[in-house]
Amino acid sequence: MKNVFILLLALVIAFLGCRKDEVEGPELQDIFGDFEVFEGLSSDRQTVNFENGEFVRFSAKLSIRTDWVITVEGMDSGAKYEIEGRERDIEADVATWAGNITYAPLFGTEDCKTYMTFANYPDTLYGDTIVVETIKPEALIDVLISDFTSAAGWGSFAEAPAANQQVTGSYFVQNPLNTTEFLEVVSPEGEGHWRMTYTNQNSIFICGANVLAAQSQQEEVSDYFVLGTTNPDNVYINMLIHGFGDGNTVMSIGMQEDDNLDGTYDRFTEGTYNTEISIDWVGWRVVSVPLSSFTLSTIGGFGNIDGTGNQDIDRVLSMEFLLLAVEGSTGFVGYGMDYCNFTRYSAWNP
Amino acid sequence: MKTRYILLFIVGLISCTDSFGQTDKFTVYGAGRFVLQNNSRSGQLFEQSIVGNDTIPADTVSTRREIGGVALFDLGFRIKPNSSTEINALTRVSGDLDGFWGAGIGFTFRELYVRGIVRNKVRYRVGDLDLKMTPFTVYNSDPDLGVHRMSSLRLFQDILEYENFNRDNMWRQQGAQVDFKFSVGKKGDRIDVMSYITKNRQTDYFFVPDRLMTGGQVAWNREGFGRVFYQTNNFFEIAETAQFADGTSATSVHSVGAEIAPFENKSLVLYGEVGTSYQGYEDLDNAPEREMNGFVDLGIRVPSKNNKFGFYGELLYVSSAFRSPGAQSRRVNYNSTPENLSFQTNQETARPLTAFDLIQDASVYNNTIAVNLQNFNPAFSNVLPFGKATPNRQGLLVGTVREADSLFVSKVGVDLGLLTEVSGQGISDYRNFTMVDVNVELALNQLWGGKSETNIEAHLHMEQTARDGLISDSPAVEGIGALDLSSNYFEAGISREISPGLALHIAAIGLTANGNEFIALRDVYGQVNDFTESIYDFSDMSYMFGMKYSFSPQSHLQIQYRTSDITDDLAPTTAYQWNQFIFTYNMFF
Repeated sequence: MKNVFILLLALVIAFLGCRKDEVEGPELQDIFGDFEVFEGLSSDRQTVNFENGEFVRFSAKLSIRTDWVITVEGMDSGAKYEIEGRERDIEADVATWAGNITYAPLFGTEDCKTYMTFANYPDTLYGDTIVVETIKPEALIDVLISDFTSAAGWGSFAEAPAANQQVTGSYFVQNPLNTTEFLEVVSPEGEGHWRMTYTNQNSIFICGANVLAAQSQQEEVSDYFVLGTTNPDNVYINMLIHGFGDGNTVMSIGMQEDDNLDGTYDRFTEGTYNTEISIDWVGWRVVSVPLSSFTLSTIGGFGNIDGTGNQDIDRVLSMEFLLLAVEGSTGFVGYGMDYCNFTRYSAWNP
Repeated sequence: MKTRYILLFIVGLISCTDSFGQTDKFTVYGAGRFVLQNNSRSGQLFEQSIVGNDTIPADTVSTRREIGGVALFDLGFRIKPNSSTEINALTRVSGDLDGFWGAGIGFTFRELYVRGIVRNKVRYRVGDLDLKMTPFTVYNSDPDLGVHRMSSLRLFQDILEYENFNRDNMWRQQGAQVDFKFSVGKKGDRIDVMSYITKNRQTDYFFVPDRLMTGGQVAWNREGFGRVFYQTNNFFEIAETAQFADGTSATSVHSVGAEIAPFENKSLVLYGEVGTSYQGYEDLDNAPEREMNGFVDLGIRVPSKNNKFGFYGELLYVSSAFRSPGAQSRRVNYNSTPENLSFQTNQETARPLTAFDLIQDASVYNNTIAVNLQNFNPAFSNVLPFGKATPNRQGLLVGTVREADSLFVSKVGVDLGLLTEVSGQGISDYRNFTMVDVNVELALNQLWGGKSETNIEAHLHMEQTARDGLISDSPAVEGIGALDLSSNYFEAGISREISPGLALHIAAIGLTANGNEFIALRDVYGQVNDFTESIYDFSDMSYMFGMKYSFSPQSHLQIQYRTSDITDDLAPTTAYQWNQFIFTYNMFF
């Protein structure tokens, strides 16, 4: 009996040690606390030399977790870099600027203002003005799909209203050779860019653009995009996308594979891998997507059957860019696209 | 006309039982019930109120009075076509009292199963199954407000458990079950093996796939010493049964345990169980990583013998992500609408469940196992709302009990729970739980040696939950997360037998809750993704009197009048009084 009680006592002590410090669920402080700024926005330096690899680190302290955006804005160029987060204690690990942009154009040697805004509160915290003494080195790319400065390598298409009842009215694909200007948008890079706009009447698919690999601006001439690896985790598609702020525009990107290597793409027997980007911003924004986030088409007769059963990024014969509208929405939809490229191992970071 | 034929068929079958009926090959069983109710309500809810500068209009929509009832007859057939096979089928004919001339009569199958034994070794059962293993694997835990009903309410409890197949903490499922046992060794050791497979959910053929439950137990038994067992219970979905299902989920629980009596006279029993759970997902967006969690339950029990007190002590640890649907599914469904006086206010919102709804209304109970943790009302149960398998609990459970028919204190039981959380919810501080449950029956007639029973019964269940709030210099967040909730439930009554089988009773029950609690909201994967704060300050008191005549231990007629006062100090305009006259005749045979 004595041993039994010793055993029970040992178990009680062991139980008291079974306490975990982790917190289940979101913190109550963030849900029920009042918003208060404990420490305003500040940066660890007022001048920065990006060419030498310097960074600007921001910090602030809030009473609760809430969605925030720290913006760095070039006072001459208008370039913008945005850091989005939801932390309570904002420190260098989540708020560092290396001279890159979120919205084109690029930063110059200029004064930049910094400020912090909140999605759920009207407050704006202003930080230090930062002087850029030297800009960051140019961000390199590996394969340029198109910078849309010429007509080579791309074409447009659309399904007629009769063939696709979701499309009614007129559509318009505004390409670099079309001199008609519907909306004034300055190209962020080079002299041309691709643009698709439409006044949507409850449509889903609007119109699209095709870029062929052989006619793209990659250095190595090939039927296929030469990406230097077959691992989709290691390749990013990058581009500048112009949003008009309508909130209803969706860009769909399709990578059409020549699974049987016969030099043509058959949408009934060969796969198309897609991804979609919701465009809810205004201006030219840098967008990067890893190819591993592309998934096989689910639309019957449009690349939903993969001839090899795998995503083969070394067999991509052509790229397809579609203008889609959010289902059930009406009104203007559209986007601009420029300097579309691939990078290996890391996203393009201009 | 069809209904008439069915009734004639049933009557014919009953009459047949006199001639060839209660034989070894053919037995009838079932139940009959007749309930007549007159429910009415009044109170502030139906009057115009002024709160501050606001005028709250009177409820001019909701029903003031409902008169109704039900008559039903369950007839079961137990057929033994041979010595190793038994077929059981239970049918029900029921009709509302206002279903004149057969309108509204329903005819349903309540139960159907076949069981038997193969070659005198392997027992099997197919059809309806009643499953129970341990409180951490498969177990239909006691409902909120417990199961200590005093005699004036026990008839309602019998009906509830019969209607929902909840007897003996069983879960009713449909499937197949086999079990067998064999001897091993020379000391009379025995191995018991049991396994089952049931269909837990039916597909909708498009998005929701079929879900199966499988499990079983292997136990080694030694006569006079105890047993050691392994148990498992698993849920998994069949993706192919729903063409457009996004993905599937699976949950499995494994445990080992033992119950050992180290002394020959069995004056002491040691028991314990340790187990793990896994919950995994395939092809579902944002699904959490597969994670292992577990529980530990270790106890010691001294059984009550010879009118002496018995006691138990138990250490409990259940991790915060431990998931065992077979043990954590709840009986009370707080999303349901009560059957009597179902709606209130001009917006016709569902009337919140009261203590008496839980005691009397079978429709507010779940009757199957749910994979995700279900909603609960902290005012009714906050310490162990999912039974002993409640996740995120650790602590001590102790209790004592004595039953002695011939003594003045014929029954006394005290249970105490001192628990805390394993992980903080939304804050690093832990909730601390205290639970006290006292159950006493006094046989007054023992004082004067009378033969007619005169009993006083009392049951008190108290729960206290507390947690410190956040400590901060800033008033913006200081004290956030602090909670202090206390709830008390009591039953008390006296019954007096005035002639053999006929007893009068007068009783009261009450539930009060005061304080606040932060209720965790969970996503489809059971993970906490938000909290809502609820504040309680309500009182739910009922007073009743009536009589009960027992034709036999299984046949009773009870007539009762009750009045309930439901007040909520935080919403005084919703206070109401519910009066009920209820005539109940119930028989099991």
